[in-house]
Amino acid sequence: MKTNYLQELNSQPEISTAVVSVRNLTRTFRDFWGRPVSLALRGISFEIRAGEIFGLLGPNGSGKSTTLKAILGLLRPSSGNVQVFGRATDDRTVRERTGYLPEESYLYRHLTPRELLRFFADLQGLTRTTACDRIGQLLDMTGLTHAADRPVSEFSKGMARRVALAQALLGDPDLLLLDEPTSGLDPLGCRQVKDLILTLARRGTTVLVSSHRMADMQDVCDRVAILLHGRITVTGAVNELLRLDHTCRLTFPEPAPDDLAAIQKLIHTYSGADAALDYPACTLENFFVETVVKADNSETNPSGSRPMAALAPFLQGSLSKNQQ
Amino acid sequence: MQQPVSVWRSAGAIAGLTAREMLREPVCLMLILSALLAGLMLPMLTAHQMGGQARLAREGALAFHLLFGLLLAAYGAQVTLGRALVSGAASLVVGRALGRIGYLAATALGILGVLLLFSVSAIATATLTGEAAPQDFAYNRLAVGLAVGAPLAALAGAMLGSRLGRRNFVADATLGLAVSLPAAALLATSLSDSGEWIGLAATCPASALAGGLLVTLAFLPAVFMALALATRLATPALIACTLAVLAGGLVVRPVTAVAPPALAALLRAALPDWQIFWSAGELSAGDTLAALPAAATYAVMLALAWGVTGILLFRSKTL
Repeated sequence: MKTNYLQELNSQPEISTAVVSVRNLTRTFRDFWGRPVSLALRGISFEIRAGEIFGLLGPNGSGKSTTLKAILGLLRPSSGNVQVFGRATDDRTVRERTGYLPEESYLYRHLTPRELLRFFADLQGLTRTTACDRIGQLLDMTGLTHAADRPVSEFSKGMARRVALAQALLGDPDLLLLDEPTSGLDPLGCRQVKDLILTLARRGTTVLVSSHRMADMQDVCDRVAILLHGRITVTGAVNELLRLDHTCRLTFPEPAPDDLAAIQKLIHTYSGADAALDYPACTLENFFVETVVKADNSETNPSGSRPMAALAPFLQGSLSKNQQ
Repeated sequence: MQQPVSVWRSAGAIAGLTAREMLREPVCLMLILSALLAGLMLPMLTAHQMGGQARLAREGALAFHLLFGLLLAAYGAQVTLGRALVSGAASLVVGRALGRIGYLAATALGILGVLLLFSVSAIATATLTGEAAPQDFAYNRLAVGLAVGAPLAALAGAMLGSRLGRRNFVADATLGLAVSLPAAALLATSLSDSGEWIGLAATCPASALAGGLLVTLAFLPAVFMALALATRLATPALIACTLAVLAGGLVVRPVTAVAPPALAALLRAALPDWQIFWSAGELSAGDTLAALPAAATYAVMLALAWGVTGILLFRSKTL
């Protein structure tokens, strides 16, 4: 399925490989009397290419969620236009190929994860057999099989987030819109969701992520746009935007103190500047994840969420097809 | 694997989900239980020997049926549509197989399903409470026993299901009431005071059934009104609005009779005339089914008006 849509886009020269194309998008919110209340978006333009992970960053009220809703066709632009897969956003086929994870995790509080996924499978027109297979695989993948028949209202925020994420992946979407995907998740869950996003992008899924967590965005995004007061202030590839000019780092096993002094002196001689000395450390996130994984190997926690498992087989199927 | 999405399948899924959410909501069970238990207690509350206790008890039960039904419609709209708007669930559903209008209609169908279930219990309660009402200082002990036992059996069954089968207590209790109360009403109207069979529903008054049907018809516009308001209002404001419309609609007839013609016309257009669904007195006089067609027509017209209002409000709502 993934290869088909990529081939379809690439084989038509008049259609760019931009999966999402936003042009001069403006959105004004009005009050009951039609008076403008806030100018949420002020003529923003950007494109998201096929298979790319694109991040929308910005403080609260900067217009991130409004942009996502415009891409989903849930609100009409005051001016400008949005195209997804080269089509208008209200085209039903666009919606069928798009998965969306909203910011709020508790979608239907009284349903169990299995019932909730069954409901969305019905809306997506999945056959009963396909739906059962996918629901089972997604529950396994999100580590919720043991809690599949408990109401979502009893779940922790992190567990509810996993259910919402499973809902977004149920239709095996070509475009995935994620609003704060790691919100409420523990560091291990965050890492697993980030790995999942990277894996999905490798198999050709285009991902748009909106988040406040800069470290998470840095870990997964190919390109980002920073929104401020409804305008895009910066856009570009993450590794280019973050690179420090005229500086490089050389990492090697720690030498003897005398050798280190000699190396610093040598650098000073060549560059005319003092070399900054620091000792690389792993991140606290990595340290925490390693500790938890070690502890989890020795005991289980039947009431809470369990670690996410490998990618669901129905998603892996497309990966192998794409690699062929 | 993926079929073209059927509009009917989607509408069924949304209606089913709406009903399930409502059936599992503890506050909805509380409203239903309040109406039914208050109705069943009427024989004790109306024990002044002024005559006509059975009729008084039935009319009281019908009043609870209408009042709590309207509250249930309002709260149900908030629990389903209101919550879906806040959580973003509505944004996941709208635009797939169904647009906003279809989503609203399917949600209304789900709420109406639960209200129908409530009506079955409430009509049975009105019948049962009439049977249990005292005549000449004597209670029908069988009917009283059934009136006490039926809700207890429903709650006990739900409790057992929750304890043994991990089933949802709230939903099972609501469904249990819709089974146990009609069964009890059927028994009470088919057996004499001494427990002898006198014929299937032999003492069941047609007026109680017709009155219950009339009140049930009132829920059709009430659901669309509640959904229209739920697109914009939070729970307290929605409940307050519903009670205001209920009170206004109950007094609209006497007020318009004395108001200047222009104001009377405005009031008639703005407020539903609940009295059309409240002809218990006429029904008791023997005119059982004549009021139903006119009430049904009025209910459909009101539902259409509120439905269009709801669509207009929902269409401009940012999801």
